[in-house]
Amino acid sequence: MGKDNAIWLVAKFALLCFFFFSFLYPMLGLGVRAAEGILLEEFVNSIFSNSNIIQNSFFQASISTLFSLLLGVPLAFILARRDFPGKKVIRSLSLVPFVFPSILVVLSFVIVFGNNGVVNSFLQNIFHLDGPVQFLYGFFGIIIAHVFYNFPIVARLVCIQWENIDSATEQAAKTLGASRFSIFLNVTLPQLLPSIIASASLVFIYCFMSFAIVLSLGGVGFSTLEVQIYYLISRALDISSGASLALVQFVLLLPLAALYIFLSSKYSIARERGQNIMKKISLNSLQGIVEALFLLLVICFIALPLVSIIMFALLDPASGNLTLRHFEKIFSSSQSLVGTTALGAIFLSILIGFFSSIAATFFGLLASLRGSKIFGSGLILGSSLAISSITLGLGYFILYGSANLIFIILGHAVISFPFALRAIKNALGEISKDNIDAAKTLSANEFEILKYIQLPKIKGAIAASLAFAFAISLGELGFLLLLYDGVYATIPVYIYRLISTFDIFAATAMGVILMAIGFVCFYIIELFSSQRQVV
Amino acid sequence: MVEIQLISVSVSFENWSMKNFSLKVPSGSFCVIVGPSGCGKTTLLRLVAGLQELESGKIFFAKKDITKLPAEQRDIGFVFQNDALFSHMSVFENVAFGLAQKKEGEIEKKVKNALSLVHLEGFEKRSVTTLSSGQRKRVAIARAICYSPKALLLDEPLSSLDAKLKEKMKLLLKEISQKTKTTIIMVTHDIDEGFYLADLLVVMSNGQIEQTGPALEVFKFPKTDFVKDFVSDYEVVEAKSKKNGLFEGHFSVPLNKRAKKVFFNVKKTNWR
Repeated sequence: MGKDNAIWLVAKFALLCFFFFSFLYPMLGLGVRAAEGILLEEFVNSIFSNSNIIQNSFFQASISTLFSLLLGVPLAFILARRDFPGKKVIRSLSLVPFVFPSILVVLSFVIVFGNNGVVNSFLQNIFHLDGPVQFLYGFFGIIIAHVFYNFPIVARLVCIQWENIDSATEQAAKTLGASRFSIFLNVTLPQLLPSIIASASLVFIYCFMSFAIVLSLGGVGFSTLEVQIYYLISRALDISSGASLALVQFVLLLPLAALYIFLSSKYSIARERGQNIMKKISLNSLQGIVEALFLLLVICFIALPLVSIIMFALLDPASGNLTLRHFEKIFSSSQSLVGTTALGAIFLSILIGFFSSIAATFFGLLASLRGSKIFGSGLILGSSLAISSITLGLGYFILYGSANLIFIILGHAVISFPFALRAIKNALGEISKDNIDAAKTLSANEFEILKYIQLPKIKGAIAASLAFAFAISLGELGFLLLLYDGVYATIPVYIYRLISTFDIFAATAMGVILMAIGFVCFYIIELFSSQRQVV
Repeated sequence: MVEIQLISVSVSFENWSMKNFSLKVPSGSFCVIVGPSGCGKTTLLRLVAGLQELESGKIFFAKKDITKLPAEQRDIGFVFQNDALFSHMSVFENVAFGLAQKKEGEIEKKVKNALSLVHLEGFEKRSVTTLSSGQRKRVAIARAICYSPKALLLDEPLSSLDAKLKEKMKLLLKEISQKTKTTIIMVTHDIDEGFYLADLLVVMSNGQIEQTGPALEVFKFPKTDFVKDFVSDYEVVEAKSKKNGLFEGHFSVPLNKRAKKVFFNVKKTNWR
């Protein structure tokens, strides 16, 4: 037993070190820097001078969340209660936004809705307009991009809850004389509410600290806290104000993160399902037609960015034929424009993704096994959800100076940690306590239980967690952009630079490569988590 | 309180079907449908409740064709096997739900009556998640009978209860039947329950009626091999009233046992 205890002690120590150096210490540094600002009244000043930006963030996130709910909840209903061909595909597609890099959303929206985009050239050809119709850059474009990105999250979380509702409760209400509307209002909705509020708070957090989309589509007129912090650091070099704002953002988002964790823990426990009716969508009724049209809209909405990027990457703009020219271009030229070559960016992305996903999964496993005994993994999960990549990057910047590969890996591990932790924790929670007790009565110690029962049962979740963390690291832009010093450029940074220089075709070629790697991750996640709740 | 009649009802699922099923349950009677799991008992209840669409045939309540009437307008009380209580509501809100839907008055008084009928006085404010399985079942029954439905449908109401509680609930169901005079259809896989409770006992297998009649008749004169097998473990004994509420009877059973003396245990609640 002495040896076992020693091993656990080392494990706990490793976990503590990880959290201290990768998370707590940088955040403390940020806090101290902000505190200096408080003493100098800079803190208050920086908040007041940026009050409109704070308002922007709130307003933008609220509207994005509202529309994500309006689109996501009906989709959840159809996924939970209707049967239709291709349902599995749509279900898996709802995972896409989690692993789809935001820079690709930006790229595809520029292609489709931009000033020289598909929609605009179409409109100009038809109406012979003088200039492009400006609707992408600014508030409107940001909202569409955020809704695209987030409504599947709502659909996924609410759908899981909807499937867990015992439809006998709805039938009981029916036999008691309740109308359909009354059943929904009094029986279904109250049971759904935790998942609706949880997904809304998660989406609000994501939209509030969305970086790539606001940075690229916000233009001059529209900025949010997250982007403003980046500007303050990278352009004005005003680190104190940046730190103050980052702290404000963290404090604002923390209660929402706590709310999300509290509510999601309430329904993530797999319950015994009632015999739920799965009706086929029938095109003979008005309701069926509405449902089918809605599904079609959703499919188009999800497929649009994927298809447009692939099409542009293969399109010869001059002749309109298919070509591999853009791929040849990015691989042949040793572009110093972004400080690296295409191959270099791909290699670096995979390298960082590889090590950070291993770190996130390893510490996620440790935290799910022992976390609650140290400092409550809920707390860790909450603060790592409420911390944005810019905030974290700023903390690293203040304390560790300029970028270093180790710190980039650590940072990415922290950003993907909530996902790794949830995937593994849920899987561990699914192992029946009786199983573990049975092993105990058969005189297995903690390690033997871990080795023979827990680990074999969560193999899939570990694979999913690795793929998830890898995909998130792969798409991460803000953290690196803030620490970017011309040495480290990953694929998203590469694409961002290409978009900034309006080399759209090269950007889409790189985008296809990013998508392809992301798709492999997505496939692994789907393979191992078909029934399990990963998020 | 209505007569319930099913006339050649057919319904089919992927690998199971019920064809031309007919049954008549007299008004105010307690009908118990017994059969092994998967024989179509629950489907039958759901057909009567309007929760299951039928392919052909007709269903009548008091000679009125209600085949096309949706569940919410049939005015029946359904007690689900898993209770299907609204876990986000209190006991009171659960029991009052049907009255509220029908916009009936005197809700508090009626809820109180229903709760006293199932011996749960004073439980109004409790959350249903804090109740024991027997209490939950009684709330489900109270919810179903609270607005005096035309019929009460019970899906395996005793199956999830422990042995002692089961006997208590058996008595309670009989009491409810006598006090409310509602037509009751109950399905169960335990023929024991049928003997005590049923005015009309229906033995089903594989979507078909094997035998129907008064409980005693089914036990004493099983018509088919299936029913014979079903009741073969039981011996019905006639007992005559002595005095002071005591009854006495005697029986002889063939036993493959060389012994001078054996003991039988007779459940005191299994009489009629």
